[in-house]
Amino acid sequence: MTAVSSSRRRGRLHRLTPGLILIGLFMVVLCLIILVPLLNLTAKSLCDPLLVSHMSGYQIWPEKFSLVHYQVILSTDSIWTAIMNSLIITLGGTALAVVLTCSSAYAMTRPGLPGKKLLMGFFLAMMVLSAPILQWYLVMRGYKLINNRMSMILYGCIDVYNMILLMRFFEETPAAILEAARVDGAGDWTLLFRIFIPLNKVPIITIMLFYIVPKWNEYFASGVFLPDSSVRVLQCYLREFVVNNNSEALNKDIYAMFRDLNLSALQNATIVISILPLLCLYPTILKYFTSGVLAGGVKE
Amino acid sequence: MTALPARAKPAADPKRKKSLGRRIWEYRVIYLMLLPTVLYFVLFKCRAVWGMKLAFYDYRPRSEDVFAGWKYFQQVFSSPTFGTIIRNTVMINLMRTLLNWFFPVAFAIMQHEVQQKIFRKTVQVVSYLPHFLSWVVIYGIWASALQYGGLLNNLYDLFGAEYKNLLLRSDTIVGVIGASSLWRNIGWDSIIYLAAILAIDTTLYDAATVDGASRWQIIRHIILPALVPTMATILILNCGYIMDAGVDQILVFQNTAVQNTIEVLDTYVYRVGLLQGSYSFASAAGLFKSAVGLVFVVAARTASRRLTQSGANR
Repeated sequence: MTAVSSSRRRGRLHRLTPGLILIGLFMVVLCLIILVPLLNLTAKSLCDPLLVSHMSGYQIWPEKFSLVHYQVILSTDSIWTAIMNSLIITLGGTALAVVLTCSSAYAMTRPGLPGKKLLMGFFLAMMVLSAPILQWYLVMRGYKLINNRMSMILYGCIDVYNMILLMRFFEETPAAILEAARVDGAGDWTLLFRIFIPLNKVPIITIMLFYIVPKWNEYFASGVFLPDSSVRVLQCYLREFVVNNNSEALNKDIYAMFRDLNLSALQNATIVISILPLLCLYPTILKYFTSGVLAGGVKE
Repeated sequence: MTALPARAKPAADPKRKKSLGRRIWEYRVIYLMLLPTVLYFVLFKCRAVWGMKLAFYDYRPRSEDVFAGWKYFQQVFSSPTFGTIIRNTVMINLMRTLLNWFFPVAFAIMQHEVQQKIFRKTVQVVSYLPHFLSWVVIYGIWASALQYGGLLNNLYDLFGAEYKNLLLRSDTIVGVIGASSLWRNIGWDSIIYLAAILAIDTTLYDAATVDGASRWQIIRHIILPALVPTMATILILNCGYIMDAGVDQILVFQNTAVQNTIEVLDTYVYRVGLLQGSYSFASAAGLFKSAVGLVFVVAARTASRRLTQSGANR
């Protein structure tokens, strides 16, 4: 790594050329375009309700600090229901998906498995084929899973792409270790849980994140399968409140108590609440996702 | 439990002569491991895909569906809005594909030019962030920046121009779709190109510098040619999704003022099928979309495989 960076440094000029200044400027502007709206939104949500309308679109600190919007939002039952539903679906769905992905990746990398080509063809077909949401809705309704969180745990459960990614790592497991374990009488379950999973922690955490992020962010299918407010997920709550401007999501009594509340600041507070878990995960995500994307080549 | 054939001595292995039944029995635990996954696909995904046959049937909620032939396809193709919807789908997709192709490449080259490590890292961490936000959240951020009194309004005021909310105008909404898609993807999509640039043999740069090449010449004659295979692969693969106009994104940006301008196949099928209950009609439109999409995806994958193989042979 040091050799690479030193030779790279030798290959370029140290002066600040006009081109480099332009690049730097472009990057600063790009970062501002990404960060300023986000910080402005956060600042407005943290501002005193009466002063929100005095804040400009590029102000990134609150005019007068106040947590009242968060207090109001978090005092409603509906958001806690939504958060719980999102957590159940994200964590349950990810756990199921990771277990299935690991076991099928292990099975598909066993040498000499009869019918391996046929199975791989089946999985690839499952990757390429897609059905419209309407057909999924009818299938879920057929199993009586509408308004049941199980539907979202199962929807898009296994991503064949992740399975293939994991297979590449499983195939590289040193044969000597396997032979030794076999001699000691280890069965397939022991091999999978005692050798393959511990040896491939990094790719497994990567695919875990590959599952968690889209599941947390999903709103379209959740809205179709889980229309009832008791099973509504956070992103659908957010859609109802922020996109459709439907403040019924809020508890009316509380809304009446704070007459002077600013609706858009309340929406901003909800947005911030929904991205907080991702922001907490972001350092981990950066660490694993980047390597995962590169290991997998192209991820659509 | 199961005795796998030893890999070290395949030639002398007597198990090779075993019957297929015996071999399958030996691998029973492996099949058991695969069973839940296969079962999931058969019970859910296959059923959903197979369910698209509804396009050929009259939907009856309480009894057996009645075969209707190509009736619903004729209805779909003769519907006055269908042509517009196909055009919207393809246009929005092409725009997004080209934007998310050109800018990430340029951004990756820029990242490679920047020497200050802390500056580069900061830019990367910031620019990757939007990729992990849901479209509902991205809409919230954009709506807050584009509303009256928002960031863009302030900028317009600075230049003394009159501002109209871009989200409510049918002539600007397509631009907003493209821009927000770029906003989300520019950083993340640049990773793969940056990796391709970092894989370039650094002695090439040294040789070029000794010969007196400028940075621009190095980019033009070393970096860009090295990026061509990756760029071509990604462009081809993305063209495979020409019929997938990103329903998650479009749906949040649709409002009564701009609905028709950005109505795409996926949102149309969703609206007609699930919201209006015309299951068979929507299935026909959906089946058309899936079939065309499948042809494009398979063609794109084959083309990209050809490309990588010929690239490896070169």
